[in-house]
Amino acid sequence: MTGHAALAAAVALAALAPAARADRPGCTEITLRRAKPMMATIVTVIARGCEGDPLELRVREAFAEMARLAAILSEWDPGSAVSDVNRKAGLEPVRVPDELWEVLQAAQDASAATAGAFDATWAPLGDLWRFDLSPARVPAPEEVDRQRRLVGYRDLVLNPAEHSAFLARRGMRLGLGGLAKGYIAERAANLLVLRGVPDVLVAASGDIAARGRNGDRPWKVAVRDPRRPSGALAVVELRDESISTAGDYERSFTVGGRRYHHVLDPKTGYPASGTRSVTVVAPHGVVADALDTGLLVLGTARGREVVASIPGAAALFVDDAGQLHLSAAAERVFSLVPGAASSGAADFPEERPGAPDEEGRADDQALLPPNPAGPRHALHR
Amino acid sequence: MRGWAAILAGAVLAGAASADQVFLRESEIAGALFGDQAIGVPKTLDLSDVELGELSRTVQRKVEVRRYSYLEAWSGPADAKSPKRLLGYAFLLDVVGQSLPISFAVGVKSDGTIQDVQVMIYREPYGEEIRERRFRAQFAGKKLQDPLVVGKDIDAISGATISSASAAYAVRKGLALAQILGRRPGAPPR
Repeated sequence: MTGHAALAAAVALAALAPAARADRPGCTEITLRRAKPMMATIVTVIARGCEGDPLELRVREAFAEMARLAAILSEWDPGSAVSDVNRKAGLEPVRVPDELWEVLQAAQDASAATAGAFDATWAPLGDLWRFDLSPARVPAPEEVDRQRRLVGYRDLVLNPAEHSAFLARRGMRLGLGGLAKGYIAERAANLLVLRGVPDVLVAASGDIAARGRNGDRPWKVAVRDPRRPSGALAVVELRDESISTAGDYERSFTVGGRRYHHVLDPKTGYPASGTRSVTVVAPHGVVADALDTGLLVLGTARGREVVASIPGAAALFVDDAGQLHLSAAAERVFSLVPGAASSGAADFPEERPGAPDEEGRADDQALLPPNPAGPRHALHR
Repeated sequence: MRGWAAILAGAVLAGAASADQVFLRESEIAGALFGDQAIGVPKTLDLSDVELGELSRTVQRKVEVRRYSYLEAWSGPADAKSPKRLLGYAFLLDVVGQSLPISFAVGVKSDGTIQDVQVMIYREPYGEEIRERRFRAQFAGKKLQDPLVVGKDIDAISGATISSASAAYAVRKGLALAQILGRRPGAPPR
């Protein structure tokens, strides 16, 4: 049988019946897909196994583990370890659980790599930029200046001997939305592998971790066009890796003809400019998730230098003109749509002055309380 | 129908195929939400005028739909002929998400608290690029007109974080419906 004929036959068979795994004789392969609202988004787990495997139970355990981790890492939960660090800012160091320690170390590494363009202490700025108000309000320059002074990753002191974290000044606050979902998705994927489910994909919305394969092919993830929700710019085959995207399109408002989005530059206190989106593929989810935000703030030129310094990382940048730029050697990771460029519009075509532009905000939601996650540099990447 | 109107509007605006990702089938709901041994018994709830008013007040918006599908979840081994104990209810609710309705299964325990919430169907407009000739070459067996299907050709999309605000609304509605159901004369014993 020729290669093409074999491929066609395989495709036809796959459409008719579940595949059999070569490493488990007698296996009738099945796929379990489950999705739950968590972490202010929808989290999907796709697990493959053989008929009779306790996949439902394993996936439930993975969701439970994600809920446990989210409870440690959420700055919106007053009982979380992060909230404890925030409450004791300027007062005393707090001994933190291993999970938070890992995330804070990764945050500091990302801050160092991006010269502070990613900063887990950004949260005081988040209070100023509200994307759920109508009419929207641009904070006064003096307010931005005041809050900006409370941001600074160098004043987050991690003590390895004590396993403690300390925010050195009163009023400082951590906000881990910029990297927590990437970390949590990978932890859930690892847990599934440890418990006998080697082929899984965990997607905390756009922050995705993959292990193993999806049957006879790798896991495939499309990268969204930042100006066209239904469009893809590239497809990535993940091999025990994670992918995350930061974009300027998620939450925004327009005042005086200018659009303000949610990815804030910790140094200026204002939304980053010059880049529409950045997608990072890396061996670890926490790295991909933290880097995408930092790179969006840094922009293409400096961003590419940073990516080159991170082992195993690759990035796709979409600049303000909609042009695509890859980091060095990233062409082997991102399979670009031929001729791809983000849709031509210089910016979003329909802007409503003074009203939040949150994507697709549905009127069903109009009477709901604002998303507790609120505005963010990072909280969604 | 609000849901269908939204689907059509979404398809026209996006100019792309709408891909439905099915996560949970009705036959799987009881097991997925209440544990592998749970048995689901499909039911329909028709609200009276008074109950519809109560539901609208509880969820803080005017609700016009009177008929709801739900399952009673009963304990007991899957092969048991007679169910033993009522574990709770699972309501099947459609709520408009980013642009298209998301179908949720909202599990409410028989004591009136939340058991679990899962997505049954997630819909989104997607899939123009597969029409591009060279790009579709990597998806064996695809025809020119075929959309790129999430859940088949690709497994996920890295991009905007999906808001789960609609889930909060589904939860409130599920809790309110369970309350109404529990107060009815002849409600199953808890």
